[in-house]
Parts: sequence; C-alpha cells; structure tokens
Amino acid sequence: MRLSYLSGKVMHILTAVVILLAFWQVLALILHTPALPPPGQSLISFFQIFRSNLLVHLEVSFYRIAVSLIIATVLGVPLGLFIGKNKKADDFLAPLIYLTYPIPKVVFLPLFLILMGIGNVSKIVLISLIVFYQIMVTTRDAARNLQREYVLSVQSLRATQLELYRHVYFPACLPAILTSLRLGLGTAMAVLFLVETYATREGIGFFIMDSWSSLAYDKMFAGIIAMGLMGFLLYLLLDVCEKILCAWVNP
Amino acid sequence: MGGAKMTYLTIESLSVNYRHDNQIAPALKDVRLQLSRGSIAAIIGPSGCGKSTLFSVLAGLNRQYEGQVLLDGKEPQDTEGAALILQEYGLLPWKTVWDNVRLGLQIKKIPPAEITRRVEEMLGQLGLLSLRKRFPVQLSGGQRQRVAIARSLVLEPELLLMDEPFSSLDALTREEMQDFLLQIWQETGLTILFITHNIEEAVFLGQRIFVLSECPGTVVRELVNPLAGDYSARGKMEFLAMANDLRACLRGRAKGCV
Repeated sequence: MRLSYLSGKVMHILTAVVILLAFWQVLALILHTPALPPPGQSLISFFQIFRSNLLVHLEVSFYRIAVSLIIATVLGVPLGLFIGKNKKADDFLAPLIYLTYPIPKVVFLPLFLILMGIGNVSKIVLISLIVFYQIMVTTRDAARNLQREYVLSVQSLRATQLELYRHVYFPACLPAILTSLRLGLGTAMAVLFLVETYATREGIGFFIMDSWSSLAYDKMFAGIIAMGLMGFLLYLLLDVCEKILCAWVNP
Repeated sequence: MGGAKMTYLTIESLSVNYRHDNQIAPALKDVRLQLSRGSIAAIIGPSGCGKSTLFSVLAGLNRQYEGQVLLDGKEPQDTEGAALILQEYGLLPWKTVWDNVRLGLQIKKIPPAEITRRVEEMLGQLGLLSLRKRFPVQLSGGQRQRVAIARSLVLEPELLLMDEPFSSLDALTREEMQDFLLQIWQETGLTILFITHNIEEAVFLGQRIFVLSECPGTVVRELVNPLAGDYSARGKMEFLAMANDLRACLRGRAKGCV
C-alpha cells in the first residue's frame, strides 16, 4: 500500500511536469522571441552546464535559504508559542508586531549591506527576518486559538509550564508551523533572488541575472529551472516532515 | 474502616467569583457538599450553574475560591488524589492512545519501565490494547471515553471527577458506558463525582444526587437514591418514580421544592 501510494505520487508529479512543459512549449511557439526559449533548448542547456556551472551557485543559494529558514524557525516558533500562550505578553507585543510586520523588510537591504557587509550574513539576516515574522505570527495565532480543554486536561495532571509547551502547545501548533514554513519558503525564494542580484557573484539569483545581461536566455532559463527544482525539493522535504510529525492530522 | 463510611470530600460554604472587566460575576455561592469514601454521586442542574467551575476547584486548577474544600483532609492543590475527565475527554489529538494514557505518569516522573508496565496493564484491563497505536480521531465515542477513563485510572486516583462523561454518546453506547463505569466503580472502590444533564443517568448511577440552582450555583437539594448501581433498575417502577421526582424537582424548583 505504501508503494502504490508512492508510485501514485510520482505519477502526479510527472503529469504536472508534462503539463507545465507543454504549456511552456506552446507559449514559446506563440511568442516566438529569444527571451523565451522553448523548454527543450533550456533543458539541454540545463544538463550541459549543471555540473560545471549551476551546481556551485545552487550550493551557495541552498545554504543561504536553509540557514535562513532554520534561524527563522528557531527564533519564530518559541516566541510565537510564548506570545500565543501568555495573554499579557500578547497585549504588550501585538502592537509592536502589527506596527513592524507590514513594513517590507527588503527596504532595509542597503542598511544591512552597510552594517553586515556584502557577504552571506546580510543576506541570511534579511531572509531570516522576513520569514521569522511569518512563522512567528502564524504560530502565535495557532497557540492563541488552541482549545482550552487540552490545556486544562494536561494542567490537571499537574504539568509544569515547560511540560505544557512540550505536550500541548508545540505539537498542537506543528501543523500551523509547517504551513507557515511552506509559505515562508516561497517568500524566502523570492527574497533570495533579490538579495543575490546585489553585490554578489555567487548564487542562482546572480547566475540568472548574469545570463540575462549577456543575453544567454537558454542559460537564464536553465537557472530558472534549477531554482524551481531547489524550491520543489524543499517543499517535498517539508511534506515528508509533515507526514512524519503530524501523522495525527490525517492518520 | 469498620463499616463506618469515612468522609472523603468535604465542601463547606464554597464561593467562586469571576472577574470580567471589573465586574464580579458569581459562579458558585455557598456550596455545601459531602461525599463518603467509595461512593458515587451525581451533580445535576441547569447549564451555566457553575458545575464546571466546581470541578476546576476540586481538581486544583482554580485556587481563587472562598470557603473550605478538603479531599481526605487536604486542599485540592496539595493532593494528587483527584483525576479530572473533561466533557470532550481532553484527549490530546496528537498523541496515540498509548501516549495519552502514559502522559500523566510521565509528568509524575515515574520510571519508564514502570510506566510501560502500568499502561499495558491498564489498557489490557479496559480492553484497549489493540487500539494503542491509534490516534483519538480514529476512535469511536465510546472508545474515546474508555481511553479517557484509562488515562485517569492509571494514575490510581482516589476521586474521579467526570464532567458530563457520556453526553456526546448515542443512547445505546451511553448505557453501555454507564454499565462500564458502574463496573469500574465496584471493582476499584473509587469515589466518583460526575456532572450530568441526564435525569435517568443521575438516578442510575448516583447514590446521592445533588441538584444545583441556576447562576450562581448552589446545592438546593440532595437526594439519597437507593436504586443507584442496580443494573436491573432501569425500567423498574421505583426507578421511573425516582426519575420523575427528580424531574419535578428540576422543573419546579421555584415552587418550593427547595
């Protein structure tokens, strides 16, 4: 049964890929412009330069994304749980969050570049900051809307605050946390592209922009394919985490 | 004990007030109630008469009360003698049956080997061993209630508090579970106090039936019920008479039942 589930999943993914490629091919035929090379050409270019060129950039980008997501999660989840659980902390911090959340954090990129240099630190800090908000706010909302009953039933077992976090708040909020990570991943990829177009010569974002400025559109699309694949693999990873950690949602 | 029934639970002039935006809303007023060790009693009354508040005090969750509450001579927060089963059972959806039942022992820092032994024994006794890997959503209502009972009993409490234990079960499962509870009571000698909205349930299970008034809740009548715990009582004339008596009392409290 597990095997048939897996093969079914693979079939769905293959179907999606075929549809996407067909759509791309049709669009390329209609538009007929060098800026949108057909998928065949882009894929050939992708496989040609993958080892020699793309892989290095992918590694750098993956490192930036992964570290950012981990930092955002490690900071955002505990804070979100804490604020969601303690009404007093929420009363105090909610205005602060609502005031700073809507500010597009990318506007601070110049500041970060000056403060933290043009290396990885400024990029990772910016992506982390943006994703941190999404994770923290979602976690807080989930913790705040937790049914009182679960808390009471564990409290009546004389649980400590720490045990309440461990047995009730954290596992109860995990599905929401994973959803926020999925959303955060999309945002992180978008911000990654942006930060990699400034003051760096590494990363898949740089590669795409570099190919564009040298009018190598097939390479540019090879880069886009690589970026898409990276995001896709990360989504798959999150899906697997959800299957294992949140088995109780859809057992 | 020498035949004489010892008092386990004593409640004297218990009052609880809730504060909402500087307004004081009384939930319980001057509640007086006694339970002897090993007895089973029902609390019945209109919705919102502070029954759940009473339980949160007894379970040591609510310490903002006036008056005296003693469980075997100790205040609720100083004893682990009471186990609370909430209305929707309070089972954690993210834990399997096994982990739900294990939780209380885990929190009490019991050694893992002993936890395993006790949980296995308890699940075995209640016929739940085959369900141990399931999550609560994969159980029927009756099974969930059994798991909730297992989770409380594994802690070896002296007083079992059940807040509308069978209210979300269908009629047949409900009777099954009432029989089941009765059996547990007879086997363990636990003191059991349960809240119900169901008159027949109160008469079938409650040796004593405490009728609570509307908000703020207070005990307006205490019925002694000799029919409790008799499996064959359902449908008997005395049973129906007792139920009618109780019904009249609940309906006509205004007309001097108090």
